[in-house]
Amino acid sequence: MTAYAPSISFPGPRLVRAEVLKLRKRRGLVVTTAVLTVGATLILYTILAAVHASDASKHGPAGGVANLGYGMLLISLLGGVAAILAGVLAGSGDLGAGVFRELVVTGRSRRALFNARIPGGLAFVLPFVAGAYAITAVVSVVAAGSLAAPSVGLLVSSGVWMLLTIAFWYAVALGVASLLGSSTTALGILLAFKLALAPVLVGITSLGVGREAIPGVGLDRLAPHAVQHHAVQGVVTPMSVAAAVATLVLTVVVALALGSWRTQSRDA
Amino acid sequence: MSASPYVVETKGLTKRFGPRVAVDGVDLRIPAGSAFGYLGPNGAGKTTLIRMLLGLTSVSGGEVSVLGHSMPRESALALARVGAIVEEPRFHRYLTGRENMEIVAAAREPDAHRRIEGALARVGLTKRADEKVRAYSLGMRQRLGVARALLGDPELLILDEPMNGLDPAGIEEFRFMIRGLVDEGRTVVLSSHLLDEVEKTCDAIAIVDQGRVVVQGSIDELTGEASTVLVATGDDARALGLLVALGPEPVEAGLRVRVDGSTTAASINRRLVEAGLEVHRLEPERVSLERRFLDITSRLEAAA
Repeated sequence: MTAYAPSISFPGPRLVRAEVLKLRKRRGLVVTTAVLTVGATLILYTILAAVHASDASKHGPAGGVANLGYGMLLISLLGGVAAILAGVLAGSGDLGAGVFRELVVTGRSRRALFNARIPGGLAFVLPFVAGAYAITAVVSVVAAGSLAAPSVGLLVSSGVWMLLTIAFWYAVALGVASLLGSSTTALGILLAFKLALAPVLVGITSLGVGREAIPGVGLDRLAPHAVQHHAVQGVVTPMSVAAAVATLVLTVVVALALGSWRTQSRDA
Repeated sequence: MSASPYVVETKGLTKRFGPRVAVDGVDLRIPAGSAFGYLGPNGAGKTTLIRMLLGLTSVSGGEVSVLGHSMPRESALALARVGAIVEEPRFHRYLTGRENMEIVAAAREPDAHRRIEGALARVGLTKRADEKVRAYSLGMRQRLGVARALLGDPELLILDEPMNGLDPAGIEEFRFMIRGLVDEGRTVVLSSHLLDEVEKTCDAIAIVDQGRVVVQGSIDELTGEASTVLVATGDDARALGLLVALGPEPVEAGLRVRVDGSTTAASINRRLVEAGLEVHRLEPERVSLERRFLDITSRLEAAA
């Protein structure tokens, strides 16, 4: 009989693969994520291409820098929703199914169980976003027509920003769902915040620098300058890059720390 | 294997939920290499105690040692060699049986993956392993739960009501499986309300009531020496008179006579034969676990 004691907090590749398996076998999640990312992007560019084809003098080409920005806006909004959905299910799925208890009795550190959800969920959601962005990038170049095509540098920085945005919302959702333990409550709170409350708060200029503390606002500031006004919903809160990075890092650290703490302290 | 003769030892183990004491100063010793039954009426604190043994819930007071390791401080070391089903085994219902096994194997040591096929075969689920768990019956889920508990090649298996939902053939199969696990040198702790099954399966038991262990020992000690014998003679009315000092109780087919250290079945037989009575039946009446359990729990109820 064995005397193996996996006491370390580092999850290891098998535990991460198990997290990916749990997410990719949820048919509803896979379909929703695909539709919200790749599907939505295809629909957007199909429409843009169709209207351009129907009346090129009135409607510009589907590519170019501005449409790259609009594609990024779509992916960050809908992909963000998909990231929240994946984060919530990763954070509360084991608990909701009663499987968390079965994992705890293996003796594996609860911190390792939680930590595995971070790379596991990202490995699930980022490929969809990368696929959607790849379509956006290709169309923005190939279908630029008379417009200026985005540079390679802009495409790379935009791609990095896109992945950063999705990873941010996934991490926040994972932390909040692990903290609350209820997928319904966590999903409701996060979607209401991302889609309604945050845009409203950002629009209230009288909040001044207080707006910098709103989770996610820093992402708008970090969007590549050339596409910033197209890729961001509403106004960009004026703030330094350092402040944007600091608020984003702080938000993620606090969300994950709370989720990890609750995972370790709750009755299984 | 741990050096101690006991795989589980608790001292004054206590769990409070606000003012309510669910587990009250329990001292428990579970011998290694045995099938151990943990019996008690509903709400007696059985599952709460199991959850404390496994580090699933915090301890309000006392000490727990599992396989020689202090819990919850050394839970990783202890639980690596423990398999358990607590209450109903739970699974991701949208995953197959095999995928659910893979999820838990990933949390254990690398060898756990190699044990998946053997564990599924042992519980007879190989052919159904690639079906989604949502299509499983309760009995199949119980068996899959046992298979999952075996992934860690455990020294100690803790099974909470494992026979729930099994048909009589399944229960018998389960009993053989538990005995097989004990024969391999493992210890199996069985929490159950099926007293007959515990009596048939286990070597030792503890009876718990209102959060306290009221008696523990081997099945033989607890069901133990017969304290009564059933006597049938050619003339039961005369036998009643002869044995009146022993407080005989007329029953349907003769008399029930209490025996103790000074009065044995043999001495009763001699007295009846010497009085010229034909003895048709002289049968030590073994106390069933069920009788013992009901005696203890009803006595406690009356005292409360």
